[in-house]
Amino acid sequence: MKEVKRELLIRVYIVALAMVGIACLLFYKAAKISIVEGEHWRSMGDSLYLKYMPVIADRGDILAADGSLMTTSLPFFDLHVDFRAEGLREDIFKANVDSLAYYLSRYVNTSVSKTQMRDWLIQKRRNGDRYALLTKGVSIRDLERIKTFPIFRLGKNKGGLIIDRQHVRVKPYKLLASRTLGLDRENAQQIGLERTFDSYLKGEEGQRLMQRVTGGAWIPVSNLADLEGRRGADVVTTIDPEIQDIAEYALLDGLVASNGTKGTAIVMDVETGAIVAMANLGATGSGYDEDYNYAVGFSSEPGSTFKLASVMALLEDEGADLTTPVDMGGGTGKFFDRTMKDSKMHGIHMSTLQEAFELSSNVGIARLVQDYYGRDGRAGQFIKRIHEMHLHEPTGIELDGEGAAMIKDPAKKEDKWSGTTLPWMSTGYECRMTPLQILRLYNAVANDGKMMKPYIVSQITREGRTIKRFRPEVVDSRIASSATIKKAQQLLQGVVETGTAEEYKPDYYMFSGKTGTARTDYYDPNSPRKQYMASFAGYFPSDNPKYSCIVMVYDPTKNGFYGATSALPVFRKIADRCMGINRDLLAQTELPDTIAYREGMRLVGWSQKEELNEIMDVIDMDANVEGQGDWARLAGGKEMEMEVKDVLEKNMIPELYGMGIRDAIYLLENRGIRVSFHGIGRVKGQSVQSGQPIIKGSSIHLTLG
Amino acid sequence: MPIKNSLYRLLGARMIYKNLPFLYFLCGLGVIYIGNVHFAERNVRKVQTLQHELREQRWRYMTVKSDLMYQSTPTMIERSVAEQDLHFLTSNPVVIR
Repeated sequence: MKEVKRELLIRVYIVALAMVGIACLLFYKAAKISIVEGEHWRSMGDSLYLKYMPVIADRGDILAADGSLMTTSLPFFDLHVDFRAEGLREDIFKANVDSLAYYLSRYVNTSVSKTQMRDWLIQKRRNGDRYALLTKGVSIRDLERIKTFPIFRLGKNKGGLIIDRQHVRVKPYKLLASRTLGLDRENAQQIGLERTFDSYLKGEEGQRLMQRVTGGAWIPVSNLADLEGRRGADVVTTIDPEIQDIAEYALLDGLVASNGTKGTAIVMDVETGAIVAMANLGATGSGYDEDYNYAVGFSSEPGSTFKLASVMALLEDEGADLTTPVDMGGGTGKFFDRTMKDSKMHGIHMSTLQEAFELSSNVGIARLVQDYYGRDGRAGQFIKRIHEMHLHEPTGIELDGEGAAMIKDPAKKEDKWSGTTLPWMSTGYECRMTPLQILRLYNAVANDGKMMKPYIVSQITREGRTIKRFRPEVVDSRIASSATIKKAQQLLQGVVETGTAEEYKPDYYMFSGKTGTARTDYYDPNSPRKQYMASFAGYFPSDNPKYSCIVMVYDPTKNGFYGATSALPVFRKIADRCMGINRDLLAQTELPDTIAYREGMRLVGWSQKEELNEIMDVIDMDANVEGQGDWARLAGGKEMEMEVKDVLEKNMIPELYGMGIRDAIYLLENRGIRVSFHGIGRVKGQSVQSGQPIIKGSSIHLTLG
Repeated sequence: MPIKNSLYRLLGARMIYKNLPFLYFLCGLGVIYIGNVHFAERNVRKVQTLQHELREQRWRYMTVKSDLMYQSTPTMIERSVAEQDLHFLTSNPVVIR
């Protein structure tokens, strides 16, 4: 018995010993892992289950003045197909490849036929391509449709459709001001507002410690807000999308009509200097596109639009007045050894400053300037006046790459001032400036001499709250005396009333401005043909200017090269449409007596009495009512008479003259007469005369007009 | 033997028995803790899914909206109604009254 007990005990001890041994081993191993090798394993664990993930900040939007989006970020998708996806079994592929090819060739890659697409799919399947490019840059709406295609609709793992997302800067208005808004692209320099305001737009990229939890999701370990990325701020511009649209397409039409190589149109708010539209178009292979910001970056010899500055200098120094006589030499004039020509040989000799300006005579203006400033070293005074108009300075607009202005100075040797510099400069040659710099001067004249800094960004907002505001800035509260400004305004209006812009004089409002035509290649005797730059700078409406605008068309070759034939139509279109959307700027045209009150005149044909009464109520008109019935018409005499009756009472075709077509059809077709008509407007003629009996099923033809 | 006895008493059934409610409580806490972690993780996943969905909906909205914005510019409207011979007013409106 004892033997057995002993043996049992020994066995138990052996087992217990083994257990203790294993326990020790486990303990040793655990200790080794956690203490000796702890560092290594812990960092490895962290790298699998913990990591810092970059939080990429969304880029801010660029908004129009009314808050509509001009640039935003939207995702686009690149699609690849994994032809060896797990669920893509041979039978599924075979059964669906035809219909998939059909959908793909119809909606995704329309340049290939269904058969070609099918062959491509089969080929790729045979090769076992795991990442075959299907298409790039698909919008989210298209992606949703593609996801419903056969095979792809099986889902992510089975269908083999691989979706790679990337964010692309999108301009919802497409062409509109696209160069001004700029580009934000990888591996290339940013341009436009995207560049100037990049520090606000880009936001802050953050880093966040994330932990992997079951199910493959990553959750943030702690809520350290300071590590989180911040969405970029939004930039609010002063651009009015509607006016931008007007300017952009007016310019486009103008460029197409004149076949220019490039052009620009800027519309500026007179009072504040806010740019409400800035369009830049250049010829590309197939039409025109916003390819460069000519308005800001391209400086060239301004040509005749510079004459405003010359004349203002003269007026300011009292070197001449509007009525000062001048010899325009019939269109040519000699200054030292060079001959100056007007754009046309007009044959006019004796004239005045005002006429020389309105007809844009180079000779006339140059003669006046040369006569006053060309002697006794007074050229410096002319330049001083030009400097007072800030024409030698950049405008400082918030867009990079502003073109530099160049105004020669007789005091500077390197400027190579010569005897002919002054007369040529007074007509806009031998100096350079950008369209925006010229517009700033015209805007100042419109603004009664107060020069505003052009600006295009009004504020920067974050989540709707303003974080920075840009206010209008005054460059110079008075660029010339008010008498000079008055006269300049008078001259600019004269250009439109009787001068070079007369042909485009509007009939219900007035604009003021100056045409400009500049030879751009006069220095090149080998130029194959004469190249010009046509421009028009001005403002509207003349009496209380709201907008100033400049239009430039470079190298127009069709329908004339003059400012008045290439740029002015664009300006006129912009002005017309801007006035159209700002009806409060228009003087209201009231007819002294509306048609209804003209004596003896029948206003309209029969119409339904209730409707007529309603109209009478709205326009607050009274009439003596005579008769009874559902139909009425008005007649004007000393007092308005309203004749009321039931036009069909005698079962006769009524008099339809002047009736609206809707009423006529209602009236006649209810009585079973078929009505046909042509034209637009009110009934002018009827094929069956009034007074004829109504015959059911007969037809009548009405002429409208 | 007294030492052995007191040791028994310390680790004895009575002691365990006495503290059983507390042990139950600890187990309960443990279960709640584990459950809570799962619950939280599920919520985080749900939030992420919803956030993703929200973002997609926003993209969809923006895509549609930008299309609409383009289509509703005056020029595009004029082009689309040009067939009906509708154009921008080019003359001054007349006030009847």
